[in-house]
Amino acid sequence: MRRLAPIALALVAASTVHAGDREVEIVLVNMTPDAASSEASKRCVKAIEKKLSADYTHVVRMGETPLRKLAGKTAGEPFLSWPAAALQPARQRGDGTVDALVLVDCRPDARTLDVLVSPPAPGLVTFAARHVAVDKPVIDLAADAILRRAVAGFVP
Amino acid sequence: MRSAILVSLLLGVGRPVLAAPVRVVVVHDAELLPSEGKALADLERRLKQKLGAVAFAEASATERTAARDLLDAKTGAQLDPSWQAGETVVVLEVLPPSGEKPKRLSRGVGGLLVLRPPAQMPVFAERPSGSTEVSLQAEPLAAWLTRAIALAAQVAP
Repeated sequence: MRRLAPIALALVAASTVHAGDREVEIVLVNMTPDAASSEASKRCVKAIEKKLSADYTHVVRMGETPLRKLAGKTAGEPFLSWPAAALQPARQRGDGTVDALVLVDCRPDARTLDVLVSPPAPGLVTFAARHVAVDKPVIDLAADAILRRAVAGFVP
Repeated sequence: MRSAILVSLLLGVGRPVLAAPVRVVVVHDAELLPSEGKALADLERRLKQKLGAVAFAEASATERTAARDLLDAKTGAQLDPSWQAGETVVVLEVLPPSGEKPKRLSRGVGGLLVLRPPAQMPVFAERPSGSTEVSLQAEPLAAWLTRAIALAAQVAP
C-alpha cells in the first residue's frame, strides 16, 4: 500500500508533489470555541481528521491552548486573521518542521465551517463554508480542498 | 433530492438535474498561457458534460471588480449586478504566470468562490495568500467544482 502513496498523493493533490517516500505530516487543531462546541462540532472535526488521514499523510492533533501559546495569541484573537509568521513556532518539530498546520472551526448547528491551512509553501489559505448543512458531503469537499492546499510546496 | 444528485455525481451516472443555472467567471490579470487556455477549455467541457448548461466566460470589467472584492473579502463587497438570484456563480482566479516571455510558467489557481446570489457571502470560499496556489488541472478541478456546485445549488436563494 505504501508503494501507492506517492501515486495517490499526486492524483489527489494534483499539484507540485513528486514521487517520494515520506508522508505529509499534518497537525490538526480544533479551534471551535468552547461556547460553540457541541457533539456535532466534535464529530465534524473528527470526520475532517479521518478524511485527511490518507495513505500518504500522517495526521496528529494539537490542542488550541498550546497552539495559542506558541503563536502568542492567548487573548482569543480570531485565528483566521493570524499572520503566517505567528504559526511558524507551532510547526517546529525538533530540528525540522511539520508540513502543514490545519486549524478548524466547525459549527454544524450554525451551518458554518472555517479552516486555515498553513502549508509548506510560504503563505496561508482559508476555506469557508456558509449556508449549507455541514454534513459528510460538505466535510469531504472541504477536506479535499484542505489536502490540495496543504501539500502546496511539499518536498518529499 | 440532494442525495440523489450527489449519488449520481459520485457514481458518474447520467447528468444531475440542477435546479439552478451555473455561471463560471474566470478572473485573470495577465494574458493566459496557452496551457492555461487549454486547461480552462477542458474544464468547461467537463463541467458541461457533468452539469449541462454552464455559462463559462472571462470576467467582464464589472465582474472583475466584484470578484476581486469578494476574493479579498473586502467589507461591503457587492455581487455583480449581472449575477442573478437563483443561479450559482463560480469565481475562478487564474494567477499571473511567473517569469518573463518566452519562459513564463503557470502559477495555477488562486482564489475560488461558489456563490448563490443574492447572498453576498459565498457558500464556499477558498482564499490563498503567498505561494500556496495549486496547478490548473481540469480533471481534479472539474470533479471538485461539480460537487461544490451541486451542494451550493441546494441553498435557497
